[in-house]
Amino acid sequence: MKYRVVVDPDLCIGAASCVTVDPAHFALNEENKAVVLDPDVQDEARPYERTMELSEDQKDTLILAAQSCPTLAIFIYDPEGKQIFPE
Amino acid sequence: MQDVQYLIIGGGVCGVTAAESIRRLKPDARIVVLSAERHPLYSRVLLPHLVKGKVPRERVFLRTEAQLSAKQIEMVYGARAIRLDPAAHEIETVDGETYRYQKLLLATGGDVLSLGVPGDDLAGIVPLRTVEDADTIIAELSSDSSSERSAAVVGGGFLGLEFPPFFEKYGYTTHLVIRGPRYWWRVLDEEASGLIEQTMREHGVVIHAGTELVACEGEGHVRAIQLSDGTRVPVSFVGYGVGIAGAPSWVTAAGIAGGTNGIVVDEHLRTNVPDVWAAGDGASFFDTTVQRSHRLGNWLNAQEHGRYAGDAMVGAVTEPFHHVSAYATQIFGLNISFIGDLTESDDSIWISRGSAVEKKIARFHLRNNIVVGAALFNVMIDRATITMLIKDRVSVEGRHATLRDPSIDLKTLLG
Repeated sequence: MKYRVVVDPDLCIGAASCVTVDPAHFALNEENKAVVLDPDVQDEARPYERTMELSEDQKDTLILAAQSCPTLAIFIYDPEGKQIFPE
Repeated sequence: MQDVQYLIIGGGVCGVTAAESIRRLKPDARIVVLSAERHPLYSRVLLPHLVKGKVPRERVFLRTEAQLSAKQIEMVYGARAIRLDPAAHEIETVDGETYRYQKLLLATGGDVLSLGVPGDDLAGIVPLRTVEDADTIIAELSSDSSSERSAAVVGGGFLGLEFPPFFEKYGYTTHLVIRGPRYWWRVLDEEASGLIEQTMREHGVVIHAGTELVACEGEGHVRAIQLSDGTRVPVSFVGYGVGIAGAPSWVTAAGIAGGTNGIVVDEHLRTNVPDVWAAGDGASFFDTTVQRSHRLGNWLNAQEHGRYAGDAMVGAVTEPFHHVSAYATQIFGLNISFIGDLTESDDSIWISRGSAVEKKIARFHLRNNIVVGAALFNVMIDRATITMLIKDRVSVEGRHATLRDPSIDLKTLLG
């Protein structure tokens, strides 16, 4: 199932809780903002948004990471484009 | 009498994260959270954004009542514990309710310390700890009818940095009072302190360094502050952040070790009493990443403590807590991040990298040739590498030049 994961850089303050909870899918860039990684794609790109294949377990961890964000700067959309986080 | 398997005192990020961790592992256990606050979990990190009008008030709340009840986490608001009986496994609240627990987590955070000077209870003197504090700050600053608006901020930590942008937004002249000779003088060298102070001055902030607040004056509402160097500054608002209180008296009265630096726990966040853990801002814990005990008051630490404590109470984790926490903020365009341990001890060594001219500085804190903490200014790119250096306790013996020289990539230290 392909999900779209979006970080709003205006909301992100670099608290790094997402990186702590889900380092496979998040990292910080040089501006101290979270960016989205795809572990299946070994690229150097550091985008604020990606659409990627996620297993159920991966999706659960990603939601935990989004939930841990103190500014709720991470948005997750299901394959139909419906926002599943924040609920 | 209420029988509860997992009882948590504190409804902040630590307590709620712990409750949610327990729920994932124990679908049927009764979990109760006693919160002294009146709302579901909200983000203290977002309170400055709220005061600056960057987010609407409803956005600071991170959980709804419905989400918590769907997880069958029973929240009891306005509940203050007043007595703990570890032998009977009982907690009593101020309302006279008694809870019998199997496992107890003290995620009590900390009440703010008051300024401790005459007049510190006047209106218009406000900390920034709760959403109600943020409401009060907004109400005060937006209703001030003074023709020349001045405000003071007292305290030289992260919170001291958050107030000047509020005051700028509302058209105030800011007076910043710091006890030491310069900002964060125990942690930073003159170059790095200078970068902060220069940034502040560029925004019109008047810095009163090496002096202390001795009194707040006014009738009902603050009108001036008096400093130990004899200066008297007319102000209509005082923001402050001078630390948080230690272990609650009802906790120490129960025989749990603790004091002004919080409730004492080991590397598993266990207190000295069976079936009682403590975590978050209120806990002084043995930190395996730096091999000493300390108390950290930041969001990430509270959250990770909560996650670990929940797992530990269920018995799902045997490894010690091992996490490098950090706090980050942006003040007047200056990105500041503190990572790990920045509390000086007798064996501390400090190394600086970068310069104020370029507005890029990293300040490393070493003990026994191991980096234990770092303060970063506009050099966030190195944050992940530095976090790994700390977490893995990498020796930098003979390699101080690499830390000092911004032209050498820090990743080379990771080998």
